Amino acid sequence: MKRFFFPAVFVLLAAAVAGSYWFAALRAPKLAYINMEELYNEFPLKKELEKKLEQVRTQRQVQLDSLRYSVDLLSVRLQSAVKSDPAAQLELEELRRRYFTQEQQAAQSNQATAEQYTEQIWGQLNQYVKDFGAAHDYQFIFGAAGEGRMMYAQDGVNITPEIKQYVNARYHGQAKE
Amino acid sequence: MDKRKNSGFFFSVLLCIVLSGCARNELAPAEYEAWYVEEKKSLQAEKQVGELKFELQYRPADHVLLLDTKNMQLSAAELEARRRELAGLQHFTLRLSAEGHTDDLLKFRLSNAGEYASRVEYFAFGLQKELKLVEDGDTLPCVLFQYERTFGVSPYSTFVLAFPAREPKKKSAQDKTLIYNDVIFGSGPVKLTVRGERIDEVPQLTLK
Repeated sequence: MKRFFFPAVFVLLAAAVAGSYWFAALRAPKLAYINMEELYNEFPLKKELEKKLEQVRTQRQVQLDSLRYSVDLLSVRLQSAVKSDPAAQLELEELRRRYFTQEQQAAQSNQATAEQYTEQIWGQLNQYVKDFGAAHDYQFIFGAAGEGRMMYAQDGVNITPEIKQYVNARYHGQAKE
Repeated sequence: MDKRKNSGFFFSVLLCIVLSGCARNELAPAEYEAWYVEEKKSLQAEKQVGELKFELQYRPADHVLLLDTKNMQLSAAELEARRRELAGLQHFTLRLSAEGHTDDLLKFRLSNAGEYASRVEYFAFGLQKELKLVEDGDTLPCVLFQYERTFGVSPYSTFVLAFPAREPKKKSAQDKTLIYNDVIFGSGPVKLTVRGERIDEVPQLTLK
């Protein structure tokens, strides 16, 4: 009987230690971090909307350029004219005023469109990260943006590649896990 | 001789199994309806962006046919003719709702009363141009569109959609991805995919 006493105690102790480690691991919060810049820059919606914004900007610029051309043309004509032409001068002033108003409007519209697109990108990105966290049982997912808010994290808790794949697939219509 | 007989028998059994696996399951109207109720979830795609929920339901042509001809006594020839009419289109239902919002969806994040009227008009007429279906690299426009107005009775908005059916390039059905550009609530392009393999499992309606 004595022969089995020490091995039994040893096995029990080992089981208790392993159990407590397992319990502690279960209770420890599951943490990870993602590189926000990388995630954002490689998000397909960001790339799509960036292209769309560029097209919108180009369209507005073409309209502005055509107005600018009319202003320049009239200006050259007036400068080279021998006699002064008050009606043409007035027309030039009016054209200049229109050009500056439209330029201002285009800048404001470009900014509003960019803000709207940024909001759409973050709206979807945040949702997919949230879904990923819930599906993989994370208590915390931190976003590292290189602004100094998160000063250090082990490479092992960087889930950027994994989450990038998930987020991009979800954007393309893949069902939630 | 016996060996030859046996191998012939096994070969025919194998052939039967393979053929029955390839053939589309045929169901009578009541069975088809029961199948649809049971399996419609597998033909769905949904996504939540913030508080907004987008649900897409693929409606097999035979199910549309079944609803259209309910309580009608159709001959096999009439059924086939109606099926041919519907075959040119692929049908979907899109439903929009907002989490925790129990009132009319059109009133969700409403900034003024005037916006309500413009939203009604947009849902009824403008939204169609924001819908595209991508299938095997082809982008298809929404050719039939109907906004099911409930006048505030339900907290969601439903749209009945149809896209042209394209000539299949492959034998099996391809994934169908709806792209809806949500400009009203600001979610941007939302993509919902119904899996091709699920569409392959859709049975065929028969009058047997």
